[in-house]
Amino acid sequence: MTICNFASSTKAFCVALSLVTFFLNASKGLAEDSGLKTVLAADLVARFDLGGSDATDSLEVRGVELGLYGPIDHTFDGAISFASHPSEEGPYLELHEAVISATRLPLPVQVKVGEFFLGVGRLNAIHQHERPFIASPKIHTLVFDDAEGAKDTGAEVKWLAPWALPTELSLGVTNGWTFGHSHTKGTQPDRPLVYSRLTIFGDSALLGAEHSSSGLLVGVSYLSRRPDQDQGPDFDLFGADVTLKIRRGNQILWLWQSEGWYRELFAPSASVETLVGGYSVAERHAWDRLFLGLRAEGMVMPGQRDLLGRTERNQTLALGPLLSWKHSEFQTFRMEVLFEHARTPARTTESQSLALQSNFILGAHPAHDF
Amino acid sequence: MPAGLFHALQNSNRIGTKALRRRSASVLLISLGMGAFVSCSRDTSTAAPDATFGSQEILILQGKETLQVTPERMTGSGTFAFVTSLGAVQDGSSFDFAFTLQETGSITLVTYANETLSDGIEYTITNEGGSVKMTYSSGQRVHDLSSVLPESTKETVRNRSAATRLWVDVHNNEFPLHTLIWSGSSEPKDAINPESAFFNSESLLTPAERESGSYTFPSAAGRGRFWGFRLNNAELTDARRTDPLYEEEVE
Repeated sequence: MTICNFASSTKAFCVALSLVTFFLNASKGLAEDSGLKTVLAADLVARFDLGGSDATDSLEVRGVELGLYGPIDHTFDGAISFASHPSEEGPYLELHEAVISATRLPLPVQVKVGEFFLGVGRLNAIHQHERPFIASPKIHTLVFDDAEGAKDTGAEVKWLAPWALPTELSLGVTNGWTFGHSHTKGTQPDRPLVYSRLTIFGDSALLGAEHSSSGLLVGVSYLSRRPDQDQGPDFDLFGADVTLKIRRGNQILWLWQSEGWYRELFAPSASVETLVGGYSVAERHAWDRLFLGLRAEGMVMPGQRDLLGRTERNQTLALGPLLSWKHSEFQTFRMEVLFEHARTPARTTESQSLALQSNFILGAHPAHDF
Repeated sequence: MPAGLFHALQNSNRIGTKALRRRSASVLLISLGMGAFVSCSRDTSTAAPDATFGSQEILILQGKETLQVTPERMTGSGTFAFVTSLGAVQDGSSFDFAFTLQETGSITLVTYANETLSDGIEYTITNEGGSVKMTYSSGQRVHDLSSVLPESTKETVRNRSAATRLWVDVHNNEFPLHTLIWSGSSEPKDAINPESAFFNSESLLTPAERESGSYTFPSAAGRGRFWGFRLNNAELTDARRTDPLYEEEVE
């Protein structure tokens, strides 16, 4: 999808929104019969500098998303979504996802083809406005070269293992012309991007009968990129993630989500950089619709040396409390304070920032996997 | 974790099952870590820097006899690199440096290069008997910046009444490579934007190139973490590295 400047981007978005609204109102019966659903989401974020951060002390619309999804026929489902994000040229409209998927095959297999966020890790497939915190973890932004995540065009196959413990293996192959944040088409890589993810789900039977409808999801992921030599180094990415949700009825009492990544850059055929990092967020229902949380994250580049062979430190640690008011399933207000300590070969910095968020959803909300 | 372990793992056909399980377990252990951990490797190097320039240690790679170094200036011909790296390969930096050139001389800023200052991104200013030129290069491509280099800057290079100062932003984490260059006697604090730079590599990007992914200008990222200079009948009076002066909002 080509870049749209501010004027044409906004107009295109408004035209698309108007057409969808008109179509749905004019053929409400058709939409209901066809199962077509519309979702609109907006993510508003204000970041304030409390000392040493790059926060701009301003409110911005971090993202607006328009999505359409529903069954195509008795076998296939379709989903299309557009999103607008701020950029240096003004609001930038792009295709987020355009996917056809087969989820009702007479086999324990699901297939999807199109443009989508890569099914690696926990966070990458979750849209930014649906995450349990405001700022994306630094390790996530670094390994996926974008605060939101990496998406591409290709195919993904998921296989559900035949044994009792729910185990799913997914394999994906995508074009790999770009990775992460890009406003261009990219360049044909040496080979397509490949990734894989294995997840195991433990439900209330494992956690205990008193935790009905709770769940524990554990995943390991792998991604390999071999871009054109001009685009930068080759890399391999390994990850692991754990998500625990303890519910009482439909209410989540506890959420714990952690993810770790290991990445090696090669240029050429020799490792030039190793990156290790992760994050962990824990959130507890405190009272009514109020949730209290804490996030911690860190990353380090081990093995770095200067020209004299001396060890160089390159690491970041961050910690911060979270306060969320989940007014409903469709509206959340959130406050997050982040304390960050960063050490690079050149200097050590400390920063503090405050972020406020309001995100809301209009229309039908796609079901969450977990 | 030994460097290149997983690359070797991927390409090897000889690793036994037990070793593979051990290494896989090591990967998972590291990946499951909740926070950062600090490398505990010992410093085994006994080498020393060749000199100090400004407050930074340097290693002279070429021209130890032809390069005169004091903490305030570097004069003559030769190649040197700063001992401290730029940190991460896929990152951005701004390089602020001041220099003068002899009647026939040149200076090259090399960034995001390896230990021998190759495979990096280079910015070269030459004075050929009063004709001042500038180029930048990465990968196999070189682009001539002489036509956009301000006349005032060229005049300063020619008459050598004062040092010429440039600020070069190198965004090695963007593709195609994004670079901006400002010139002047002081840091453009009030005018740090793509329009105030005399060169912004995005101006070279045509709609056709955005669509095709095939570029005619230097687009390759640097592949290393080090930086330095090559001097030929030149004098360098200041050189420092900071975070990029201009950063595109990505959130």
